[in-house]
Amino acid sequence: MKSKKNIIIFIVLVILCLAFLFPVFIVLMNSFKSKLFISSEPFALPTAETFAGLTNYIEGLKKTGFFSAFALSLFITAGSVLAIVIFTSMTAWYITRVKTKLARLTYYAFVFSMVVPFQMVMFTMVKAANVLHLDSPLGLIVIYLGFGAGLSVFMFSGFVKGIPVEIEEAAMIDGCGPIRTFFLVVFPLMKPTTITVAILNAMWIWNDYLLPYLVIGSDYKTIPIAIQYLRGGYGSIDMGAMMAMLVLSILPIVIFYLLCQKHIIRGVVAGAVKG
Amino acid sequence: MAKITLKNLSKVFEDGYKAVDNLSLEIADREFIVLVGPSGCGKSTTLRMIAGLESASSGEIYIGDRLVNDIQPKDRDIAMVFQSYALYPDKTVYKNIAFSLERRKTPKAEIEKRVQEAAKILHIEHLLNRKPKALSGGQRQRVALGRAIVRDPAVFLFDEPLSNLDAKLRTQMRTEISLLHRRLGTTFIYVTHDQTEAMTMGDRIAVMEAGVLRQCDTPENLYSYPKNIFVASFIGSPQMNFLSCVLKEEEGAFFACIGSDTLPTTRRTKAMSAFTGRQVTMGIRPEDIALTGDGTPLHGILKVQENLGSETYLYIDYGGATLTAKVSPMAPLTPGREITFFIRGDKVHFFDDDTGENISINS
Repeated sequence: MKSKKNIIIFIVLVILCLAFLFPVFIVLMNSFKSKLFISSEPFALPTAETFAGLTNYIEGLKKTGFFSAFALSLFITAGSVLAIVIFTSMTAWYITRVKTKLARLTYYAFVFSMVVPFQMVMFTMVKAANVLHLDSPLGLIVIYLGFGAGLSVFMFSGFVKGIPVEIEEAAMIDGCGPIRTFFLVVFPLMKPTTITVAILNAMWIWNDYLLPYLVIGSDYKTIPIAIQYLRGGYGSIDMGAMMAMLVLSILPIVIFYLLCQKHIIRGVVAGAVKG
Repeated sequence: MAKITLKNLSKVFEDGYKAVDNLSLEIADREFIVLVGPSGCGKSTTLRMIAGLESASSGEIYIGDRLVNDIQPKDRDIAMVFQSYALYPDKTVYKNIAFSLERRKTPKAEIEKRVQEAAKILHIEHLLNRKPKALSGGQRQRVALGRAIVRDPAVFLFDEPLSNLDAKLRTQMRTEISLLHRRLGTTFIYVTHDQTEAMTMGDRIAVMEAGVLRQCDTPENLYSYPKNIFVASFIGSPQMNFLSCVLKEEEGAFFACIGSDTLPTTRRTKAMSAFTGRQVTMGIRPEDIALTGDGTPLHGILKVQENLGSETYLYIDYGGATLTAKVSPMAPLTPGREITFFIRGDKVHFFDDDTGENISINS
């Protein structure tokens, strides 16, 4: 009975897995096909006739200015993730340990920010970004910090609740002030949650199209925006180059995820169980 | 090394709960003092105020001659061992012990020397490269002690350090902490709710109840001369028996009238005279009830007999109250049958029913 149930679960998971991997496979496969055949035979495997080698990649790199877009995406993603991890972990520690009404209210404000859809605030946010001169790559990092703070503070808070306060008191007696207590004792303990927060935010920010397009799209091109420019006038699209560039844009974040994936499970569980 | 002085120390939490109420206590240099009492009596709060982890609502705390109320924990020259050990989980045993020295910018060679010395004292030299999660409860407690002694502080504070250990390990660590005190010759303040730990370890014991210090004295004096009914009932296992009686005085001698029985006592104080003819509570230690002796024979019904090997406990129904007697090992008796017993009149205590104060000892 139990094994039958397991088999059903296994089959469902395999179907789900295939459903998620199928589009990635199609993109990867088509990136090696000649662009004429991508539209006519999108699901066919490359043959001697349709195989294009690295032509699409070379073409795409030339047309999109991929390397400068890659550098900009990397700068924005790394800067935002770093800012989110440092600021939200400190915030979570403070509002968890300081038992005041204001701290609790702040916590609920962060949690509430998670349920507000981006589309609801995007136009006012773009206007505010213009007024505050945040319409630059550096400014975008500040905006990402704001949008990423809700989930990150929520996750870090759950973890901090599980850290015995005696450890921090021991650090205080051992000669640490609040800053050292945080960076030498508390922050190293947050490693699993830090990695989880970093991965989740890195995936989101790296792949994000709408926010950078609205805020800095006219002056700076991140990878998703650069790829979008492969759409020519009158609906013509260089599908070959687009597929190749999509593969290149997916690669870094997949590698980052694979390197850290064992921590993501540990981080989620640690926050959930200990909290 | 330093003496500790607490002057009229009080702690009221934000919700209005008074955890410590006007506590005054002098702890001598190199003394091993134990703060003991039931849960919520304020003993841990007192310790945390000495450590600087809680601020005092009023009163003064002196370490040596220095008023430390407004001094940070790190600058009070103290070390603390926590109930949960509070080791840094991501650091090795070596790093845990060395952490405080590193914070104080002690030279590396000196740190190495002191960590090795502490590890040798506590027999944990072979564990220095392990992380806390790879240690047993007893080993973790030793590391926590190591972290404290490496600092060479003026005062050691212990907050129920043995509560998480099993009974056998607790007894072993109890001895080791007492030996450590003798070896280091530093002031130790030790908090526990376990009166056996308190009686076996402390030079003096401070008994607290509801934030108030009830009595502070040597273990022997606390046991033999409890100042009030709380201390009398808290110290001693099995605990003291209590009976309601009327105190009478005839020709300078005192008698306790319990129902139709009259028990002579050699206790005689001025306070007792004031209570003649009034109802008071009589306290009798279990070992002061015997099945043979002279004086007034009393009769009760044996409820339960517990043979522990080295001694026997008898639970006797006497006029509706249950008395516990601690006697020498003996053959099993039949429960439910009448039993004759004697109370040592020279060892009984009398307590004022209103205040709970012991009126049978001279203050």
